[in-house]
Amino acid sequence: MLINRRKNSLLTKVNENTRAPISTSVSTLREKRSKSYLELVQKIDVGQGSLSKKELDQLIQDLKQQFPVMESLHLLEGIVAKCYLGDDFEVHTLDLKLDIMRHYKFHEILPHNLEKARTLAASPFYAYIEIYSNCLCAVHTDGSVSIIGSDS
Amino acid sequence: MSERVIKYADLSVIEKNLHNLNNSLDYVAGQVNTVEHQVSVTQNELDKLIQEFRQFVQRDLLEKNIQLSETRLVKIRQELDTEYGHYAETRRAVIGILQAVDKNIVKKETINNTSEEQMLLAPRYWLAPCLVALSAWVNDRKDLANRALSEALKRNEQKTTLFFALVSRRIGRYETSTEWLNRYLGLQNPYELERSIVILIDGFANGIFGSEARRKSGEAINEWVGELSSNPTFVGEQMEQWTIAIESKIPNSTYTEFPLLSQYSPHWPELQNSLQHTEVHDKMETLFKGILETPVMAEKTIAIAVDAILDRLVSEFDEEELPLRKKERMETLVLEYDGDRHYAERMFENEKTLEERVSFTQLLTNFVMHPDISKSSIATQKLGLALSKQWIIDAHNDFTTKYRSKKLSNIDIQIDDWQGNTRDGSNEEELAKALQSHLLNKQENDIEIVKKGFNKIALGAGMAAGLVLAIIFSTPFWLLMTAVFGYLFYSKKKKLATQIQNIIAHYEQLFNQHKDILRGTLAEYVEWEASFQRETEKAGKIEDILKPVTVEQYSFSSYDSTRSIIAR
Repeated sequence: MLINRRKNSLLTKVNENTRAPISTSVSTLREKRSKSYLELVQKIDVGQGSLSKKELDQLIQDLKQQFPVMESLHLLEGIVAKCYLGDDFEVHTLDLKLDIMRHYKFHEILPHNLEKARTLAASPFYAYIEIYSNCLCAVHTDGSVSIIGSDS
Repeated sequence: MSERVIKYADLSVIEKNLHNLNNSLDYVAGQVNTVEHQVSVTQNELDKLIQEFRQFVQRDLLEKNIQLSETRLVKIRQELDTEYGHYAETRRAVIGILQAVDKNIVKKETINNTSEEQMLLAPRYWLAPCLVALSAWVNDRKDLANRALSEALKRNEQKTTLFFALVSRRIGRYETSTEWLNRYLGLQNPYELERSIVILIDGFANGIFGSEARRKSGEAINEWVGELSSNPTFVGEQMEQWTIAIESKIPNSTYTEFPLLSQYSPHWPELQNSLQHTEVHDKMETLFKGILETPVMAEKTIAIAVDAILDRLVSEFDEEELPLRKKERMETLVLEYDGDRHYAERMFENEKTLEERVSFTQLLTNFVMHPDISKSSIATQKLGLALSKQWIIDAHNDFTTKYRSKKLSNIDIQIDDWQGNTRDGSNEEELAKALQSHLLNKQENDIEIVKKGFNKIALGAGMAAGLVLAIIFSTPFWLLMTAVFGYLFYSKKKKLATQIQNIIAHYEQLFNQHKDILRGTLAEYVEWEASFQRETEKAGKIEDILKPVTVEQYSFSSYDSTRSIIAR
């Protein structure tokens, strides 16, 4: 084919360590997140203060079960969102590898790949950020999704 | 005896000489300071000169590039004229014959002779046998028409087919036009389309084809978009094409409203880059509004409309000319980017507007982003925008998210050798304290150094005095020395106090200056943050503009009332 195909394109790049090529999942990852799912994610914010351990575990279970892009769930490392607990807090995270939820202050560093999503999550433009092994999905408040490669 | 010697000794000369020596030492120290200052000034001036020289070399290079491109453009255009200029006559003859037949004012023999002459003058050119076929058809010479047609198809099947689809439409032969169009569409591969496909899209978007032909074209466009959209790799490429197109709109702006921030924050390049990215939203809005709000002016008659489109088919898409057209475009870009050949080359590579074969989706991008080079009419640009809108929205949102993710959450401020950090510019008091503490430390250090110098002298004087006490009664010489060292000690101590006062005054002044700089830099950072937020919020406007756009809006016929069938 004579079409100009860019080698190593962001969307066709296959990451090492058994990562799936983004191109195969990009169209599904871009699927609009439902209103009910966005509401579920919002519940994390009250998590540390008012939810019991049992309730929190249930919330994490619900989030996993209702995840809109099931085929990519195994690539999802966590969720980062803006935190409204108080002036000192900036973001909270849900580490889906470890099933841990935590609120972070401005000076605290987020673990693993989650730090990459911090600036976006703290901005007022997105409901929350999904972190995959090879990309970030910034979910807008209307549920639409923007995708950037993790190396961008 | 010793008392007597001391009594009569004249110490004034020695005292005077020591005073002179002291003055000389001060003078030398002053001179050394002056030289040091001059070296520093010279170094600064040299750095400035080097910078100016580099700027001069760069400017000179850009100017030379501009001159070179201007010269090359003249040469390329001359070459185009020499090599392909004679085709112009054949091109004019085509429209001439069609219009002459309309009015019935030229003898058939003249038409015949002109066509045959063109056949001899333009060997290899696909349009020459088309002209012969056209005149044979006017003269009712079926056999000659068929033979000429066969030759034309051999020379360039796609263009000949499209040419006769349009000519048949012009004279109202709808069925024949549809047959030609079917044949043309059958030759197309959405992954590898010729640039001249824009003529078909233009014909479709401007409502030139008859209802059946328009239905067929609409189906084909639907099919191409459908086929390409269902291919994830291709969608990825399409998104990337749009990303490149959007990124090409990032301006190289400088922001003079932030003089302190640009000078005192080592993060200024990143801050500047972020603001440059936000400017893209306004640029895209202007571009899209320009396309959507410009009215499509329909020609008075279908004949005029087809003639205009035929004229473009025969004059703007000849592959033979493509190598020279590419060179022409390259040099034009160098001029457009003020002689920056490197940047122009990158843009040329990204444009892909003059590739022989491109995908349908790349064509749609070119219609919108480079209408002048892809030769798309305003109707086609609107259609391209409608067909590509979701890709554009997604690529634009990704672009916005990407630059927002790179926005710094805090910045460093560096004033001389002091460095501080701020998240939102609100920690002025804390930073001012840190700055003061830093300067106080430096002040203490400087005082310490001066004191150390004095201490050595004091120690020396003390030791000498001790010795003198030990042997004071033995020789008058030591008595003399006591006086000398006593004087030296007193003089240096007095000077030390002045030096310390000067150091304190210097650092007080420095702190006031630096505090003003710090306050100004923080204020500018707050303004920068507000400016960034204000501009990046404009990203939402692009979706607002594009979302309501539908393909149906831009595929009505101007010449009949049938609606197009394509929809996305």
